[in-house]
Amino acid sequence: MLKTSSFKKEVTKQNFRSVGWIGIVYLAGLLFALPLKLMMEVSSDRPLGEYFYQRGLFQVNFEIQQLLMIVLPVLLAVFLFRYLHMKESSDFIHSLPLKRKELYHINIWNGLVILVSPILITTLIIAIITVSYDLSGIYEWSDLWYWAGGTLSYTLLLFFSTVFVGMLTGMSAVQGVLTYIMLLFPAGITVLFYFVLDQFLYGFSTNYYMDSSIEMLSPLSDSLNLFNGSLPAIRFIIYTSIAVFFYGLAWVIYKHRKLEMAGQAIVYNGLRPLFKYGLTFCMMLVGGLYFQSQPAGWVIFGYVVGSLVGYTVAEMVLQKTWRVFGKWKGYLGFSVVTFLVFFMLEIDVTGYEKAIPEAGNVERVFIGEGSYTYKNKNEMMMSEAGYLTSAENIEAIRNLHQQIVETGPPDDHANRKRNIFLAYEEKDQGSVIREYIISEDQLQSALKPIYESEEYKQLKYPVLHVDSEDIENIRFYVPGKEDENIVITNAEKIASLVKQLKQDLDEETFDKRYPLIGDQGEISFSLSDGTEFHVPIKRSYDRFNDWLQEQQMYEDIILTADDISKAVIMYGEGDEGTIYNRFEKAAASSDHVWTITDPEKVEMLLNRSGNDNQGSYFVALYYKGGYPEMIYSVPEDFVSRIIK
Amino acid sequence: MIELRGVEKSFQNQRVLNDITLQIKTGSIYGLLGSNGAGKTTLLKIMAGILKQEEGSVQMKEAPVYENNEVKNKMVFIPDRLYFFSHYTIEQMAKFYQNIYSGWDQSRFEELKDIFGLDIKKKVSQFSKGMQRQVAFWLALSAMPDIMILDEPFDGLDPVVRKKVKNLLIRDVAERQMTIVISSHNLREVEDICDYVGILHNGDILLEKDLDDLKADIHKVQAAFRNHVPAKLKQELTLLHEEKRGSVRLWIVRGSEEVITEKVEAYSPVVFDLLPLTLEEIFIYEMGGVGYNVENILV
Repeated sequence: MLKTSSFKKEVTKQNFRSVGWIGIVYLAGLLFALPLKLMMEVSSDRPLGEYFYQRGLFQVNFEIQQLLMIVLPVLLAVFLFRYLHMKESSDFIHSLPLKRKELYHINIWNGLVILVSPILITTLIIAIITVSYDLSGIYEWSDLWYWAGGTLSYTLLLFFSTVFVGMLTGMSAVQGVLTYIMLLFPAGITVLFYFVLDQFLYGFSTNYYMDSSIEMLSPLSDSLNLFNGSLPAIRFIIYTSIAVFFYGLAWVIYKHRKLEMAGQAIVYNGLRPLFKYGLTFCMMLVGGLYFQSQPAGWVIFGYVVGSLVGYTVAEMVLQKTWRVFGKWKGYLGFSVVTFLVFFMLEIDVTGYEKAIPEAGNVERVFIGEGSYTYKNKNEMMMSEAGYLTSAENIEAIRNLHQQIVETGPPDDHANRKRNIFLAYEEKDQGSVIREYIISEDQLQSALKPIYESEEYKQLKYPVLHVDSEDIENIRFYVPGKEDENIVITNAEKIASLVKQLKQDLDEETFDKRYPLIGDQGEISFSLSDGTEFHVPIKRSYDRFNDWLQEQQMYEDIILTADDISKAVIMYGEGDEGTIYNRFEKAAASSDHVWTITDPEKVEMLLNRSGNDNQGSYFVALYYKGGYPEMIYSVPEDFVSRIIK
Repeated sequence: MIELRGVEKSFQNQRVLNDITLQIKTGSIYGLLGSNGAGKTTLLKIMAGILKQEEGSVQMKEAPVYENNEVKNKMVFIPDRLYFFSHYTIEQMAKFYQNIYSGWDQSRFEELKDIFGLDIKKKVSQFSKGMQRQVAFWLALSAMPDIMILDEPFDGLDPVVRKKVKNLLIRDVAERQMTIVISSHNLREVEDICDYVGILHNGDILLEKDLDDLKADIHKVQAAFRNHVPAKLKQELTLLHEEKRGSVRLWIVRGSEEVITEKVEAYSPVVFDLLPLTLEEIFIYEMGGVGYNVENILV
């Protein structure tokens, strides 16, 4: 191969004359981004690596590096194989006594030299810097190898991807655009696909499937992980292998390429429908995504407009004219097929929505507010998130699930809405994952047995399974009190308090699950191993309150009407976002603004649930201690009882 | 020898060439005639090994041309739309050709410099269209090919240069048995240089002729006789066409010059002229018989 390339040295010369500048730009860019910056660090007075989050060469001017790495190989491949896309040059080059095999390999070799030498030279220079200065605050030898491997594999992947796409298309612009689309496609289509499932399948947990692992599906988004070195080096080998695969595939395609197709968007007839309907499909999903949070009518509108745009653009590119309005038959076919697929999803032919695992098959059920805690179990547990394993609870969850499916999504005005995430783990290793927004008010009967079960309480209040001997101290955070930070370190006191509180928690009923307006603050348990648990301070915890009385701490910890200087009630239908500002100005107007100072009425307020967002009235509590006021919404009937 | 057998080619399911079979002898100049869109360029690109036919074979010196460096090394294709590397000077292009074509003759290149008189240090793109075409011929001839394939080669050349280029081509054909295929939509443009002519129409070769044979075989006779036109003479001659112009008869006659002269003079004509036909006239009479209107085929 070397023999041929040296034999046809004029071809190489021509290549370097026309695209050699890309290599120079790459080298200059890399030298500017790395060695130059490193030398600046060496010569500066400040401690080494002060501006870098962590060690590694990708930390240094990453944006410049990434730009070079993602743009230049594509540009180079486009220019190198541009001769295939212009009729005149394609005819000229292929009339010469040069086989396609020679042409392909000369171009590939030239391209590799242009791209790889800047990386090698930069590596060498950094190596010299590494030997000459102590830059261990910024990087070490292993970081240099990681950098060289990462840059090289990405450069090769992008170069060969572009070469591959170039063989399929007859237009250089299409080649560039299509390359990036191809590299983004796996991630993009997955996101769009999940979105459609989320639209059509009630209970589909987009969050569960859509997480950072989607980045992995596209080398482009994955490249962001080079920055902090979280991209494993094995991926470099994978990307390089894909590059090699594209190298071979491109050659096979080139061998069979019909040169008369130069100037056509897609050179292979078989690929034209794929391109056309692929674009139509993707644009349809994008259109739907744009109107995602709108009512169903808008989403359908988005699908129609998106697919029409995609179809028209594809036709325009393929026909190379904008007058494609007569070509609607394909679109009609597409619409019919899509409609059928969507219709089948909508009527749930697979039974996805109604599928509730048989109780006998279920090993355990994970319950939580979202998928995050399910997937990151080793991280600190949030309240509630965890597994339920008892047969009663599994049955109760199934019953709840059944009711959720029957009730359907809550409407906008439903009270006490929350997210619920369920993951059934089955005995045969299978799992059923669901996520819903529910209104707790609508599902009280189903939620109550779960909530009141001991197993659930253990999840909700992790402190329940903590031995009081392991607790180092207990801290009370009480807003509105003079001393907002009270600590107990006495072991005896800790033991007695924990005992009382555990019993309170065990006995807490479903109805009392939410703190009232007056239930301010929380108890924090610090364990000797550094972990912390939090329990809200509630006045419904009778034993706990009695204990506080005994210790004469009640006044310091429990919020009473005495701590409140005043409460202001205001009519405030509409935007809740600005309500804070409106209270600021409320004093100026007297209409629909009432100030409450009567301790009895303040007490009534404190005993009110602050969690239902039913009201068009708002109440602001002002603390004597000067702590910023708290604002809650309250229903009209309650307001009328207070201000009558 | 260039040999095409049953060559078929389609562009996106549209048939461009149907079953083309033709032979071009070594050392001949073959004119491929046809109107725009007849498929000339496609046929030439297949001959040049650029495009691949779907059916049939294209052989030069008994070897297929497609992806065959040995054949293409001795063949140069000059397209109707020329291509040079951007920013290349004539000298740089020459170096490129020298590297690519093993038969490159540098002394020939120097010699042609005097004939074309263009500055080799100048970028090709800076020359006019006609000059660029001269550069293409210059480079092609210096590569000393056995076969030249020329697509509408004389477009944009002024008559003086045209003559110069034709002479150069003929010289190579005469001196070293070079074979040339020339396409044109204009018969008059190539009739003085071609010795074979093929007419391509809608992807079919309608007609293929040796021009020397044609010219030797068909003549225009103008004759007048004292009394009346001898009916016997008309029977003896193979008449293709007859016109009366007063007492003078104009005949298009098939046959060799000597035979016709002998036959006519036997009847002692008052006026007798034997004129050669222009190629265009020959085609009009020949193809009229096949049922085609030549004016529609050859502009």
